[in-house]
Amino acid sequence: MSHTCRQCRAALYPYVRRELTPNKRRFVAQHLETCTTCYAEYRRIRAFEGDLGGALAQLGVPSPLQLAHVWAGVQTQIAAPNEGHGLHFRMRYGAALALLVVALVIPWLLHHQQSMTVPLPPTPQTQTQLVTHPAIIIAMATPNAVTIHASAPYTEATPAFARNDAPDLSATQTP
Amino acid sequence: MTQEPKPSETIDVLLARCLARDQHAFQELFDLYAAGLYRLCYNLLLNRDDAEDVAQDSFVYAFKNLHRYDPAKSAFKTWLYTIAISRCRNQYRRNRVPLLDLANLWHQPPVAPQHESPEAIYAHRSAREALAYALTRLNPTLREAVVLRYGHGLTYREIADVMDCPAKTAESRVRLAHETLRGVLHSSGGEGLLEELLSY
Ligand SMILES: [Zn+2]
Repeated sequence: MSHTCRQCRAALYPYVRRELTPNKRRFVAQHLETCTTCYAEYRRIRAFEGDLGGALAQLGVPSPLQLAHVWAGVQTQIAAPNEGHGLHFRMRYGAALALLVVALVIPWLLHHQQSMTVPLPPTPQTQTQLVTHPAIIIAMATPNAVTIHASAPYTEATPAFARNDAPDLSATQTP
Repeated sequence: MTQEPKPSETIDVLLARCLARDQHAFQELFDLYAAGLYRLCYNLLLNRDDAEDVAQDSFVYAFKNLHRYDPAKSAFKTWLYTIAISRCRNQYRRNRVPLLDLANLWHQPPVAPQHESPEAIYAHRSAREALAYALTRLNPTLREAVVLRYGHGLTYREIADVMDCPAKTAESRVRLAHETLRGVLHSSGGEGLLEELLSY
């Protein structure tokens, strides 16, 4: 293929679509007048160009029924203004709220449950009496006192108040 | 816009009526653009159900966001197509491979006259299948470019707006897509079949 043919071929697509400058267009037109192989290629491209446009315009033409179906769907969603955004909003902030509640409530519940379900120590008997007596609870509120805590082993024979390893701030709020 | 269904002044009036929540105006706007938008979605997704979903979703988004449309920036059709293209991209990211819906091609309303022979109808359908198959051989970017240019008559400037790229890039994509499509159809013997599609 000659250099001129290569130049012409490179310009054939824009030539068919009339996108060339007048000078370039004149060059291609003159070459097509004299070169049968480039002219044949030009005819093929031009035919394909037209066929492609026509064929693509026919591909996927919807039936009236399909459009009616789409319109029905559009109407349904438009009838509920901002439903999608509202739903997203509700879902997003609802989830955040749920997480917050879980983050706050679960530790409290655990702590509360631990305090409520302190197993009654079987021995020594004196310890059980101590925690249930109101006077002892007041005594627990003093700075040196220690409340009953789940981690405190009640099975020890030593009195619970001798320990000072787990102060409970909630108990110290008592005046 | 090359194929604006109505003069732009009329579109402006229609849009103003939509913004005033005139329900009839929404239907008029839908009627003007629905066939083109559905066809765009189908040409890109090649699946009827996906095309219906994306077309519907695009209209819903457009109708709910009409206040965001700026006539100074683009024609309404370009804006609508930009919305649809974005949703098509999400869809083929989900699908990965276009689900070529041959059943739909088969059941598409026959463009050929009803009195045509079964052979002619078959040839017509084969041409449509060949073109749809050839489109699946293009990467999505080239498919968008060629469909917007040849299937919907957009200018390179408009294609550039819809595809969010420079006009020169749009032009080279169209050319590359055109050459690739021609190569695929030629190798599958379908190039001549396009004439079959147009022979009615
Ligand atoms: Zn030549």
